[in-house]
Amino acid sequence: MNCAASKALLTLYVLKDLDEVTATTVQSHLDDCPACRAALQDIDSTLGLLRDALAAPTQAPAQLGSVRRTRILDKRSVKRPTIVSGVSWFTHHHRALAAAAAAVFVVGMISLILPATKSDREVSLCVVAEALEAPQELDEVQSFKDMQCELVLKHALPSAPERKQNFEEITFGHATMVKSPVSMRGLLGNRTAALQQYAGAAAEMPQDDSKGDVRAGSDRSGLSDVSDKSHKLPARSKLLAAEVHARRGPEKMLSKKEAVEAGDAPRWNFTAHGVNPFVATRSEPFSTFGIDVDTASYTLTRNMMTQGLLPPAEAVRTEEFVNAFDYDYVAPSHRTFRIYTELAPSPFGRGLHMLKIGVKGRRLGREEQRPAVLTFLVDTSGSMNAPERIGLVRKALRLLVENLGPNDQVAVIQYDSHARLLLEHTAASEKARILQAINRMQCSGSTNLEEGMNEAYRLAADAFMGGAENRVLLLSDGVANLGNVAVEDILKKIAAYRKQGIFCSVFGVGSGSYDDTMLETLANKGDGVYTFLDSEEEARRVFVDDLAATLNTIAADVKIQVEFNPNIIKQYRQLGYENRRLKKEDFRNDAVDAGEVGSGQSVTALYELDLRPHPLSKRRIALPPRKLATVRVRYRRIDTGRVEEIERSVWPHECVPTLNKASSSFRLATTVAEFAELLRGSPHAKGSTYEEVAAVLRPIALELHLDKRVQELLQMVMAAESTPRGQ
Amino acid sequence: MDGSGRDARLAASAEGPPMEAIVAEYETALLRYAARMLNNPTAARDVVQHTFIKLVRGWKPGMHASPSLKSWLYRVTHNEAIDYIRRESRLQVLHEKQANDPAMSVCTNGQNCPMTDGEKHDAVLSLMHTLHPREQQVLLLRLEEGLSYREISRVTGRSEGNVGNLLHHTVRKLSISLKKAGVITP
Repeated sequence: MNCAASKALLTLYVLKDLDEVTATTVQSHLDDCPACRAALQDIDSTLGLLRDALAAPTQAPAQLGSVRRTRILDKRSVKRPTIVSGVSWFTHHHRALAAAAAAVFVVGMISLILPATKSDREVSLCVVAEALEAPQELDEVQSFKDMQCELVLKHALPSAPERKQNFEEITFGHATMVKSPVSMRGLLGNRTAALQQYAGAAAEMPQDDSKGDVRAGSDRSGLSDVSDKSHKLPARSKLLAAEVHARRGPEKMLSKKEAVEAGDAPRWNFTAHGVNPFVATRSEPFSTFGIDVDTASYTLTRNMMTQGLLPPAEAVRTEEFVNAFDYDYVAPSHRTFRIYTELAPSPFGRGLHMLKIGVKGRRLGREEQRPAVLTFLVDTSGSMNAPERIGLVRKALRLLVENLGPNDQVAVIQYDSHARLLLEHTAASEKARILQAINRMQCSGSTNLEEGMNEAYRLAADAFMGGAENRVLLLSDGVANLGNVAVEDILKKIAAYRKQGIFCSVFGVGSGSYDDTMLETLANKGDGVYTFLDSEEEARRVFVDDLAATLNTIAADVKIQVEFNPNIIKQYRQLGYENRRLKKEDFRNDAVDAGEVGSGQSVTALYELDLRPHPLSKRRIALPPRKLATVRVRYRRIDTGRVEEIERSVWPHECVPTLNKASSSFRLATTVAEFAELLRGSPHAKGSTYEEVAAVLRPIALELHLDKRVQELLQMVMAAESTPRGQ
Repeated sequence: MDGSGRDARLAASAEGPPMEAIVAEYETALLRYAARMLNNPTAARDVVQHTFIKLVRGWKPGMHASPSLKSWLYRVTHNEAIDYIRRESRLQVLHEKQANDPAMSVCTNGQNCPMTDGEKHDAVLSLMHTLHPREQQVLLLRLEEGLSYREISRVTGRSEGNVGNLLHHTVRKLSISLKKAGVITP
């Protein structure tokens, strides 16, 4: 055997695909020929590399998913191939459609010009079929030739107009997944009707032509910075008038017809959780709570205050106010969490001390960030039909899509009276398709959250990817026409999926009619973050700046327990976290659900401490030094799945003697908390005024002049005194 | 051939067209193949969906899943994938993208650029995508899908000898470009 003959067989030789005789011949030639051995070496390493590369995990989906599967199997029963339910089908086939239309035309011409026999016609159609289906070597056309001819006859001629019609349907977003209506009326009775009317009336508002500039005003005020709001007062008051009109108008209308129901229709839905009391350390030295990284309460308040109203007391959650600010914790580089503590006298007198506990999560490196499989569930009911609602949602989604990585996947479902699939899970690199789906959203109808949730979770389960961040993101104004039974069902479902690794994040938009309680509960059950979007800036913060944190969870079921030393501390009070309290023994019970933390996120908790006499100010505490408190954090790491616990002790000597020496972030946190306490009318904030808060805040705002949020807060505190309280 | 026994079982297992069973049996392999060809998981789903739709439409009562079904599915998937590429006129874009791939251009001129295994794999795969689709076809069918030469010959319509030849030339071509890119040392 010569070199040329042997070289031609080398690949098969390496693959062991040669018969024995040939293989032996090649072997004996290789023994004598160094050149061929070198060539063998190359081919061997190439094949080795290829095999390894192909064996590496890929993005290839393992299954088609139930939606596509149903489409395939549905084709069985359809006699004439009609093209249904496939936005993606259309986008992929519009050229083929044009070609089909052209072919129909050509065939029509041929049959007109030539008095063709039936068989001639069939042949010409077969040619068309091949031209359409096989721009290259499409052999399967031959194997199904008869079938194809039949197919073209039935398919191209009558269905072209049908397809056109279908296209129109698709453009109006009604083509896909229209399911049989679930009667919500039965669940809610008249209240649904009232709400629907209300929603419908609200939706009509912006379309009124005389309101043109009010709309512009509302758009602006949504975007405007609070710091220059004085310049926009006229626009704002107009907006306010419009809001009031939007709210009052329909109510009046209803009160004529259905006075009882109208009074029943809630504009806001918040749940009060009370205010944590002082606890005597001797009776209960442990304070345990699940963490909460939400910030919705603060954003919601800001939004209401730009509209000239204080939020209802029960809408204010102190911990969400505190967590809305950045306290400049340094992220740990190796461990998952790091605990920061700071102790100083409380700025608001009362002879108390304040303990600030910060827990900062590790920031994941780029290579550690997992691909995200996101399912967007967008509320497109009538109540969403306003620029600051659906408009903001569109903006937010566009921002997000721009910032996703190529490995991420996005699906979009809209729901109003029914759920509709706008886009199946699509690689984020196909921006055009995703943006198209986002632009296709239309608002009308009622709010069938139940069907939307079911659809979203079904789709998310279909596209579930192990090792990825699987998440359903609900964007809604929270007005859902749901009975208690349905809510229970949804919550159960969310909790069940959470255990399998599909999380749920909630983004609230709009105000005026807004169900805070419901959205917060949904996010809690789904282990997700609950955020309120009031402006494009806020959307940018959530979807661009904090995208890594929003999408990459580092730890779940994060719980904090603080053990106070009863010998030093007489009593303590936690500020906020009222609805996150856990029992002492739940801390080490890993079955108990608690909040999750994303990459680089931090949580801050505040305690007011009442120290015993012989206070710290006397310094030099007698030996032995005694711990003032111990902070423990327990969490389940997402990457390893292991439960870990870390702790940090607080020593009396760490106490900063005067407030002025405390760090600016400490003073900021206490001020924010005090503001929140005042807003929610906490009994512990009695005697304190907004003016006092502003006085403490002013120097901080100067120190942290780069942080826009602090400036904004100062504006809010100063305006709070003269602002009337909303309902 | 192990396929025939399985296919016969498929035919026996269901009343009428055992379409659910066929989809379940082949979807993963076809999706893997299409995703390789297209480098795009979503498009792969579309392509495989169309393949199965073609199958459903061509299915007549009395038909059963024969051993050639597997070859037919691979063939249609391949052609659908080519269609997709042509339709979206992405072939050109794909090649341009790979030609400009920074990882590749850095390492062509540098002798000492150590590559991690992951980088090597990426390089091999992106070079593979620059091959002609029919070369990718035999390579993938043999190495990833593990089809026999007879099956590949049925999928591609080439003789078995021709498949072997094409495979060898493809591997040589790839090894030359790998050397050029500095992924394997000569």
